[in-house]
Amino acid sequence: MSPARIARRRQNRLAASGALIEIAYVVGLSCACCLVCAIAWFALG
Amino acid sequence: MTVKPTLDDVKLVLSYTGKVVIGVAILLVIPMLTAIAAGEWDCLVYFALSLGISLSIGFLLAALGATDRKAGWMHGMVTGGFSWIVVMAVAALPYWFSGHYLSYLDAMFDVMSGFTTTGLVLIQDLDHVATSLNMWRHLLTFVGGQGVIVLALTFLVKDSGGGYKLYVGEGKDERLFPSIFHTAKAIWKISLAYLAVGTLALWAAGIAIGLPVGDAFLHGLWVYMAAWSTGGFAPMSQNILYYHSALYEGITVVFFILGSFNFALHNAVWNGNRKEIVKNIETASFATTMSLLTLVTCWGLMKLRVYPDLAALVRKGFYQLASAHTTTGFMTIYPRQLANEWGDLAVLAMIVAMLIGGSACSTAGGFKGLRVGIIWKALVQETRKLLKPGSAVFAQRFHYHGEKNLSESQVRSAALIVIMYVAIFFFATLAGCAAGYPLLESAFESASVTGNVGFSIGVTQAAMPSFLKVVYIFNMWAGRLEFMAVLATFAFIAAFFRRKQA
Amino acid sequence: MNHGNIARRALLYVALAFGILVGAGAEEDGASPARVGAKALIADPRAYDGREILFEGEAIGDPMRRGDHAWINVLDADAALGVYAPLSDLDTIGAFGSSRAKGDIVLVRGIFHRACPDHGGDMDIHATSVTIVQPGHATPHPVDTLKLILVPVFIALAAGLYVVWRKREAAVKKDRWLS
Repeated sequence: MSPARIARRRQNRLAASGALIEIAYVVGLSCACCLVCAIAWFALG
Repeated sequence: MTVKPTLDDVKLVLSYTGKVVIGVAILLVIPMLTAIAAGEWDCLVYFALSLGISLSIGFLLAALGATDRKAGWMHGMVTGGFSWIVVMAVAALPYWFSGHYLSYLDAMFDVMSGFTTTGLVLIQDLDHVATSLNMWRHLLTFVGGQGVIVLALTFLVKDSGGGYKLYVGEGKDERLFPSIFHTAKAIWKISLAYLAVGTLALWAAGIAIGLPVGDAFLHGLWVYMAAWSTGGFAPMSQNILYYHSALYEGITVVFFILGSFNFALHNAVWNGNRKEIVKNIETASFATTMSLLTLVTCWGLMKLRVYPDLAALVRKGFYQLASAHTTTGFMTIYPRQLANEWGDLAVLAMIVAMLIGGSACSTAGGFKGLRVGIIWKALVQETRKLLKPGSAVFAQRFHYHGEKNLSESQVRSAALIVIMYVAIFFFATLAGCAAGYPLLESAFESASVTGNVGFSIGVTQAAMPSFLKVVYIFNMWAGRLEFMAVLATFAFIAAFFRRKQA
Repeated sequence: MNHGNIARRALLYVALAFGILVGAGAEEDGASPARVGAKALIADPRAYDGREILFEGEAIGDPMRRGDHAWINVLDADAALGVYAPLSDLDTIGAFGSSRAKGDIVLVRGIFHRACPDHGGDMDIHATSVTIVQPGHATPHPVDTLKLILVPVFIALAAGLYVVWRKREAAVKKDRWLS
């Protein structure tokens, strides 16, 4: 396999893990907000 | 460029505008192919006609503007402003030919709404719209999100100096890479990669919730395009409520929040800089304001006992707020419910969320998190100065792709742009009241338009006064381009017609 | 005729009239819930929340099966509402509204919810019966001949202007090269 191809593959793997991290962050943030909703629900319900 | 623009300056603007029009005209091939696949021959004809007319206009402008002069900053700015208006008029042709609009102004309104990724609609009978027309609607919002200029840059503009100036004119100033073409291509790569992932996810979800395979794919593609571009269009009149599905809603939340992030952030994280997503001032600002405003919204909803259980509070309260804060505009309630049921506190939280908006250099609108963060840091710095008089002035720092010092000019620039947003927000609110709408509703719709959000409280209708439609078009345009291009365009036109100084 | 007979007849008529009125009233209360449009439901949902209503409109889009029930979205003059019905109730619906067809006009009888607790707060109607009022039909969209004729006209115009553009670009570059 040529060095260029290896480099491109590494780049793509890095990009894919980057995307997963972003998605994880967003899911985490959404869960935090759901927690805020839950707190509001139980505190004010 | 001298004080009074010369004919050569006008030519440059016309030339670039022509190229942008050509770029948009070529996009018409996509709905044409869709029409062929769907057997919509009447649509194919009017798309082909629109293609012919658009190309004619594009080639004419490019021919009139033929010049080999290099572009300056003014040209980039003015092209940004002017080309969006010309494209608005041209891209409205298929809408008008489809018969789903009561006036050409309505058709142009929907085009501007699509390109600016606002999402307010004046279309009639959306539930019976042709597949190819829905393709055009959602494509416009997807391309508008990336930036019409970015589209042109990728394919049509060969000179890189001019290219960068056009890019900035469209309201982006993040240079992902030294070469503007490299930057434009990187933006497309990220968008297309997520397009594949997101469409697949929504396609699968669509099938799981009971849609037939073909429709599940089309809806998935369209809803993804509207989510990523934080546009807020949907193929049916009930918007996301049509699907009655927490799964579908959940996937849209992920992609519309992602879409509201800065392209420079995506680029950084995709190149291995993982910590950036947490340390970046914009994501930090967004996470803070999202949490706070979610709390206020829930408080407002709980006070009035609007929702019967926690699940409903999340699926209606949090969803609508997240949709507003990212300036997406997806709704799982009816517009009038905001006015009739939500109560003033929750509606106010929504207005604030819509005005703050998403990240800079993204598809989102509003003041932008970066400016809110910068202004906040400046306030902190001022307070510290007040509390410790006489001691050495220390630099205030913030994290934005590395540690940066807060400079006076950054604060000034951020504050000025926020002031301009607030100014046009008041202007459109005033216009709404003048048209007879109640204050809170005018303010809500104005925030939605100015922040390119797309939430409606019920003001936006085909029956609303034409002058209000024009005001909203102006706010969508100015807000999306972040004023520089708009001011430059007006200054250019005024200077061109100004009489020569003696 | 004597007074006794007149009195008896009068009483008979009154009783008859009363009986008819009561009978009619009984029929109204027992059998027909209010017929409401989407506009009224959205404007004042609390007035109808939890009550049985009649809602009429066109079935649009696709039915979405969820277990032994399904969602259909029904569009009236103002807005479309989600209707959650048992699968068996939906067997009769043949046509759904799209760009190619007008869907069946259906009359839904069911309980309206302002913010349904079963469905995450959605405004919906849990149907107890769905009947077809008017079957749907295909909506043909013929090609507009005027537009069809204009297509080659404008394509030709565009082609001509393209040539003009390339020529002018070349001319401008030549000027610069020569000057």
